[in-house]
Amino acid sequence: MPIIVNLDVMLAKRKMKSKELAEKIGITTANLSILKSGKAKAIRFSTLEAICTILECQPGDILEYRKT
Amino acid sequence: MKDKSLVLQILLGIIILTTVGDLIGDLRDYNLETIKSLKAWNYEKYEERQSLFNLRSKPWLEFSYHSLTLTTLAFKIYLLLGFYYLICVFHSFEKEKFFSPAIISYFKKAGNVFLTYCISVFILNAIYYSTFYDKNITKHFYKFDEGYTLLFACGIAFYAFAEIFKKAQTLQEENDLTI
Repeated sequence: MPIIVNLDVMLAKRKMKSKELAEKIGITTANLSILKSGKAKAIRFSTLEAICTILECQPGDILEYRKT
Repeated sequence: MKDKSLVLQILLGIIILTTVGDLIGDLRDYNLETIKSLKAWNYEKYEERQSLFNLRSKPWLEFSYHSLTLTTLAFKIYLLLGFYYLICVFHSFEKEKFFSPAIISYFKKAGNVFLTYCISVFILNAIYYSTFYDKNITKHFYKFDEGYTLLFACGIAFYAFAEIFKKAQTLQEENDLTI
């Protein structure tokens, strides 16, 4: 898929652990892992909003389009 | 859904038992009445053409009759397999497994069995009546169940269900992978 999820990069920048983010967003670590690994088919606006609020970033910092 | 699946399984069980009973009845008739009728039938009495292929020799008529009847009975046994697949589908529903590849496969297999049965019985029916179109013969012999045409519609419906469940499975997967 040409959409790349840079969530682990943002987590590293904010020095935050996946488990902590998952707890703050209110999703399971398993689902966050799916999102991080790029296996997710879609992301809800509400989830994206929560991630951006907690990591204090823009959606573009998390999602990237890379032409294949 | 569990209760409904159980009710459907019970209903299907009754249908299977009815089919088995029907099959046993057919076998009994085949063994007793039909052979008796064949023995009683005297082809020499009939001067006119008795069948499409003009089969007038008794051994040939007997052979045709036995092979057609036994093939029909074999297909009836095959039809039971279709009902078994439907029981498997309801069993999966009972376990709350709705959109699994197994259900899609069972629906396709059931559709295959029902369609094959209908097409085969239709062909056998046509051969049967063209071989024995004299009423003096056919009135004694095996009667084809005319309800089989309904199973054709069921077979097509099961194919449609398989496609619907395939699409539903894709949607379910996408939904599960939406974070």
